[in-house]
Amino acid sequence: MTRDIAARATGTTLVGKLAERATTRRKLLGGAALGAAGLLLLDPRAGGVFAQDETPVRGGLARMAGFGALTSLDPYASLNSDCDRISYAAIYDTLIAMELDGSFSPQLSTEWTVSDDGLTYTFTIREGVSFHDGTPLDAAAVVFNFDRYRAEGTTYPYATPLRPITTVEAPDATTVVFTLANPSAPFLAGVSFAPIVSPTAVEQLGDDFQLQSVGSGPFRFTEWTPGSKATFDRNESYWLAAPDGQPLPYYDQLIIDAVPDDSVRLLNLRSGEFEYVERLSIRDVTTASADTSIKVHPTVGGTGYCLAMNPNQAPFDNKVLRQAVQAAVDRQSIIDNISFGEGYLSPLGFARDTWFYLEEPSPVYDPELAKQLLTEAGYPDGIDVSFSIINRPVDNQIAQIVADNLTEVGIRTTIDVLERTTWVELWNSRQGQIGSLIAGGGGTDPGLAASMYDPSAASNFAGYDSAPIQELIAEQDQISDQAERLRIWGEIGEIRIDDAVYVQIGIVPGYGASIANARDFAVHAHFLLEFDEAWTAE
Amino acid sequence: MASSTHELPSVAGVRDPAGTPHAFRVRLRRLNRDLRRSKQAIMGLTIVGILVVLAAAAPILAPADPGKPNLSESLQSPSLSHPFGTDELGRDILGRIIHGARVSLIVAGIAVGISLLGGVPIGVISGYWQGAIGSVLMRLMDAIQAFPGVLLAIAIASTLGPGITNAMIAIGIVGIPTFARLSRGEVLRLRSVEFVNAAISTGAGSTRVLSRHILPNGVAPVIVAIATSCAGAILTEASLSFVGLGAAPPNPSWGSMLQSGYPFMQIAPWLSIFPGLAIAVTTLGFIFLGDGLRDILDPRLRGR
Repeated sequence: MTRDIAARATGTTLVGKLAERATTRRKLLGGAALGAAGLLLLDPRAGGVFAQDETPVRGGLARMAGFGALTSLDPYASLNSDCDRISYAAIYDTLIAMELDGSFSPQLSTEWTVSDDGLTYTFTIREGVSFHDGTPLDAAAVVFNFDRYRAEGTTYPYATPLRPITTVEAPDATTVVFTLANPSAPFLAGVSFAPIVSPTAVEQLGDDFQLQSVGSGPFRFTEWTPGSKATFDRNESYWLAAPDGQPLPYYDQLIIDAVPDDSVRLLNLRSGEFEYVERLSIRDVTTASADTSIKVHPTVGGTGYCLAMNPNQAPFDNKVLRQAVQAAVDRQSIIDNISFGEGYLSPLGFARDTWFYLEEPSPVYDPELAKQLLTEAGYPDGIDVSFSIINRPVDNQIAQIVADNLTEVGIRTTIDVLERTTWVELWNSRQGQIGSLIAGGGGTDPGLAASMYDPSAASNFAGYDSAPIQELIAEQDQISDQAERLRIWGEIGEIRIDDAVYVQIGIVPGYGASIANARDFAVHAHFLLEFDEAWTAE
Repeated sequence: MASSTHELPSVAGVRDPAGTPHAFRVRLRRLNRDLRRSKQAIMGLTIVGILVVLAAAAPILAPADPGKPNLSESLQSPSLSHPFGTDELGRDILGRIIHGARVSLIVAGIAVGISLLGGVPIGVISGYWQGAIGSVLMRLMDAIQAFPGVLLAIAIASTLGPGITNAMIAIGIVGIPTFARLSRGEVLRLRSVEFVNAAISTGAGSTRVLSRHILPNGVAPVIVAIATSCAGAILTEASLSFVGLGAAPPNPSWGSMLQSGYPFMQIAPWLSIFPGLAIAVTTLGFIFLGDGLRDILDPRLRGR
């Protein structure tokens, strides 16, 4: 079945339009392709639809369906930032926002400077902004937030890029100074993820802050019972104004709900239960594109699929055997099959619409080589291995093709379909053999993909521990020159391919959808939406 | 639950009717005659018969490996070369359904076998001796039956771990109370029937009474239950495979075909429709067979 997805082409122009547009607000609250496997890879990139000659309509209701339920209104305690980020984008602001090209734009911070040694960042905080509870959003509030996020034993999901911080200080009410232990390229990205919450509310509400938040964003918290939809009402005193001088946002109310099944979510959009849905299944993109009552929006980045081999236990502690598997897997066929030809190879898991996409180095697909390597690894008569997957449709599809590829060269593969928790236990206890996981596909900064190579990270399911890679990652974190960082990532790629612990299959582009009349919303990776300037045409 | 093949209990019972070859032939002939009268039974038998043939001849009828991906032919709509179309990995759906018949039949056979071998002894023990052990066993059966069947099967299968063997065990366990209660009722009823009393009074031991007098006469409702349980087992296996607790891929089970096919419902409905039909038709076949057999074997329904 050949597929011609017109929306893809339209998407490119949309993304272009967005980049040209002088956006006032482009924050990336955990805009993450965190994926079900939980890898810390961040996606901030945006597409979107922007009105040309229409007058925005004020009022009305925006209902949005995500793929997972909100876990906590407190970003510090988020259990699934991939699901929660849409709500955070509605109720919180960040100091700065990341643009498509990796640059940053002002938000709560109007300007910032970096010292020559790259160790001191000074942010000027926008004056006159207050939280929904009426308390001022000043430098002290910003310091409170960053100290909270980076504290010892933090549960904040995006604490990694904040690690270089040694002190955060507020010399006056509108200035915040960060001092870093070493220069850090992902630091600003980390700042752009960090929602600023009301310190007064955190202190007063304690644990209840998870259930009723106070921020400074375009919408204020109204109602949420865990497990059901969250309702947010318009923030009457939002600091950002529309072009006509009236304050934003346009919508009176925003409701965020969760519909886990991709196809059902799309059906709900069509039947008018929602105005916006995120994460279309690539299977449904063609039919959805043909429907004039809705619009399909490509996002930057997508979902990355990856194979893992456990180097900590026999038989895959044998590097040559891992290399045999890597050579036997026909990654191009797999990505074509699971994405209807829309996907692409990405050896390091970086999305092709980021500045750090690397096509090379790439492992070779060569079944003959795989057979040789298998013999060299000490298995001339082949070997029986177990391929463990989480019970998800795409993983199922990948596993069957991989099992066929491997069986062809003599690696006889049986597939074990497991529940997610069982799979995670198996791999975190380093008992897995081969597995498939969701990893990569996004990234505000390549340094944020580092958790895959960090032996202490829970998302490093294979327990990959390569000292040279860790050194190279630390090195590139301190460099701001993009070309130089890319060169280092190329080196990391070489080592990774030689070790063959993780074999990145490729990336399936992401799509979201809205009703045809939706206007002026910003779409980030996996359809992270910002509703502050969005409205529905009549 | 008072159904029996016994027409002249007092006289025939003493003569031990089930025991002689002649009586057996008479019975077979009668069954044959009755079967032909019941359209439902004929339909059921035909469907189940076709299924058995498909399952037995699967490697001849569909020689291609049903699990082997053929990516260049993925998601083709039904055509002459692929009457039911191909799935997301380019495999012929008809071929997979034929091979899936094996899985379904094996699961039905083994699971119902477990239910039968587990349930009948429990029912006989508690029905014949009526002791404390029997009471405890029957309360245990009540406890099992208190759970919804599919839910219990899912609970057992997820405890044992996914896989077709564990699925069969889970389905088998869930079916045990059906057979236990049924056979207990039959034994209780037959135990107080005169020819059994006569046998006991002539000094026949428990083993002889049970094996020669009670079991042969209580077998009819059990046969009916086997047929309907097969339908249930196939459905439950499909449900377990659908939630990922049944046959592991690339094994072609109808339930797992449904599971992997439903995300493609909007673009390739044949992925789910044909396995769904296969499940529906087969289940219906076994239910027809069960109902037909009940009509034939239950004397009270005879002649209606």
